[in-house]
Amino acid sequence: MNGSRMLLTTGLLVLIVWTALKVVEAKQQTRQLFAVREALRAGADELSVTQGQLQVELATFADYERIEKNARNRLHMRTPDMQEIEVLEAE
Amino acid sequence: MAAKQRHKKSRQARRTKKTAVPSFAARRRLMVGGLLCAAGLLIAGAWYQQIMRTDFLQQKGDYKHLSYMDVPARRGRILDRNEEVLAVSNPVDSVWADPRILPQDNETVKILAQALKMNADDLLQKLTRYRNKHFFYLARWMTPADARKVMAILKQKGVKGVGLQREYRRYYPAGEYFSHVIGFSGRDERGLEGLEFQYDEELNAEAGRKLVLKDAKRRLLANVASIREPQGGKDIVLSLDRRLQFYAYRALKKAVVKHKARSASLVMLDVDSGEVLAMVSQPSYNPNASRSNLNGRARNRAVIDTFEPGSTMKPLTLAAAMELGYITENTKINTGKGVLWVGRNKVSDPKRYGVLDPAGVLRRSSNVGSATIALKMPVKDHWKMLDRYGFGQPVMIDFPGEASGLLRDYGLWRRIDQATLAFGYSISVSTLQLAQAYAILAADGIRRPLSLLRVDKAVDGDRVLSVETARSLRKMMEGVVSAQGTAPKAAVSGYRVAGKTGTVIKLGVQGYKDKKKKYRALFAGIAPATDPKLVMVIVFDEPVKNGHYGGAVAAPVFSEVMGHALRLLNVAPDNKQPKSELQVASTGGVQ
Repeated sequence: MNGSRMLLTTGLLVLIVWTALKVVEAKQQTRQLFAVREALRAGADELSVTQGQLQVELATFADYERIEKNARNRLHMRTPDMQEIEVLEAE
Repeated sequence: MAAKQRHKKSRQARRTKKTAVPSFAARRRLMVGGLLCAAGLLIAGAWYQQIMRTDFLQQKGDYKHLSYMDVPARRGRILDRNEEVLAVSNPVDSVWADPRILPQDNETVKILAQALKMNADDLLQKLTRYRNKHFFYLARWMTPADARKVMAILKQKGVKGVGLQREYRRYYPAGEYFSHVIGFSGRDERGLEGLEFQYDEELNAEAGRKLVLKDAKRRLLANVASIREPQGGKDIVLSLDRRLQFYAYRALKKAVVKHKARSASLVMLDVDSGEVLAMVSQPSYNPNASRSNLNGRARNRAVIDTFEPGSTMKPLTLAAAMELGYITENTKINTGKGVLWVGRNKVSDPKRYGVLDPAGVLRRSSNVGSATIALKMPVKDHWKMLDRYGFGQPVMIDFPGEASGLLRDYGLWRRIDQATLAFGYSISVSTLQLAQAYAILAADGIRRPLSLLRVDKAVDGDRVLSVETARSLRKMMEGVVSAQGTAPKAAVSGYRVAGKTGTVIKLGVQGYKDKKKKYRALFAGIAPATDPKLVMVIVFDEPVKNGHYGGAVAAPVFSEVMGHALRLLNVAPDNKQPKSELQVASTGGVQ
């Protein structure tokens, strides 16, 4: 075996080991990223639960029965009389 | 030689039982042979396992680490025209148990009952009942937060065989205001009633499925493959307006209680687009609560129930006759003594009205007058007009179970049928059909397709009446809502209203001549009369208390709901004159 072939073999061996290590590293990264993604997915799920609750809550608070009661009793609002209404014509 | 000697020696040795001289060469061979044998076995074993049984073992390995996971997808929402939520699917967790793993001793039951806040005896019963099964629900539809708490307790106490399953539950925030139109969907998230059923295909979501890799602790490691992508359902936007629906529902319910009616329905249409803005029925139900024993409460009466429209038919009869040229605004109709004989049958008015013009026929609601007018028309033409109003055919509003009503073929009409058709007997219609016919008068003679979904671009309609006929009818119908008409209580402060009352005798055991008559009270109206935006029809079935006339029962509901609607929709008032006491008293205010 002459020197140059020896060098080539050694070089290739090093490369093989290096890429093998890189494969391991890439695999590890994949799993880490997957774990992150799963965590985010769980977070998204959590948010969708909250969103659903808020939608229902909003609908409950926006109930017209409730709004009207508050407008009349708490804010003392009333429906204006026809005489009090001024209709403005668009120019 | 040596062997012989050794043999001899060993024999000697045995004999003498002195020092034994081991044969190393033989041992070495034995050991090497044994090791080779073992190695061969191992290699053969490995070859057998690795090469011959590879599929089987791979499968076993995958079985441990790979598993299918459902990816939940959400059913579409139902929104009102302003995109407020009317039906939404929210994630919930159901707690399940596997009775093969779950120990069923008293201690476990106690822990479970405490964690789930259930009665221990009930729980034990449930466990006993499902003893031989592999899966059952301990509790369904818990909020995810509560479910997590339960699982934490169970984990702490070391109870095994219990898990969570993600499901969706349908919520109807607008509750009973919308229950008839929207209907409901079942536990499997498939529509069972109303629009949930009608648009199930659009709303329905398909859960996805994926193959995942898990480690020994069942934690997710990687996504191996996606078997099916999850498909979320589409949202549906209705034409209904939540605010108008609310006012309509409340007014109708109040009136049903006040008049002790059996049932009632109301439909409000947008004249320009043909959209249904409000559609309510009584009695109603809460779609979020238990839906057992609904009986008739789930019926969307506005679309499904049909009835004889009575006097609300008169403006349509007059419009037909005017359109066909048999009467004009000024035609004098002699109602004589309030009796008209058609063959052996009698049509009568409660009073003598003498000579009336068409407007007078409507204002007085004269049966004789409208029958006289109808009898001027050839049956075929009369039928054709009723057909063009949309009677006797479904409105095609895409609602399950929609009624088409009954309009018999003119070939079967006797003369008395044509006479009674003039004031709304011998024909059956739904509230929605009646509203559609009035919308033709409101839209200057154009019939537009009706829709329960929001219409973004108005659809062209068909002309049924000329502009002149429609306008002239509306003008006549304003008289009904005047102090001299039958429905002054339908007036809306600031707006001109055209409408017609109806008080229908229900068909009883002895025809229309039962001793104890039952009634239907109706009002159909258009506002503002000069430039119509809204049409509303209200029908009460068997009001028995505080009056039973359309003008007394249905007209005030019209006034209240229409008042709110015109104000909410920013419709400019077309009647700013000072009002009479009567009108002020019956404005659409809220008491």
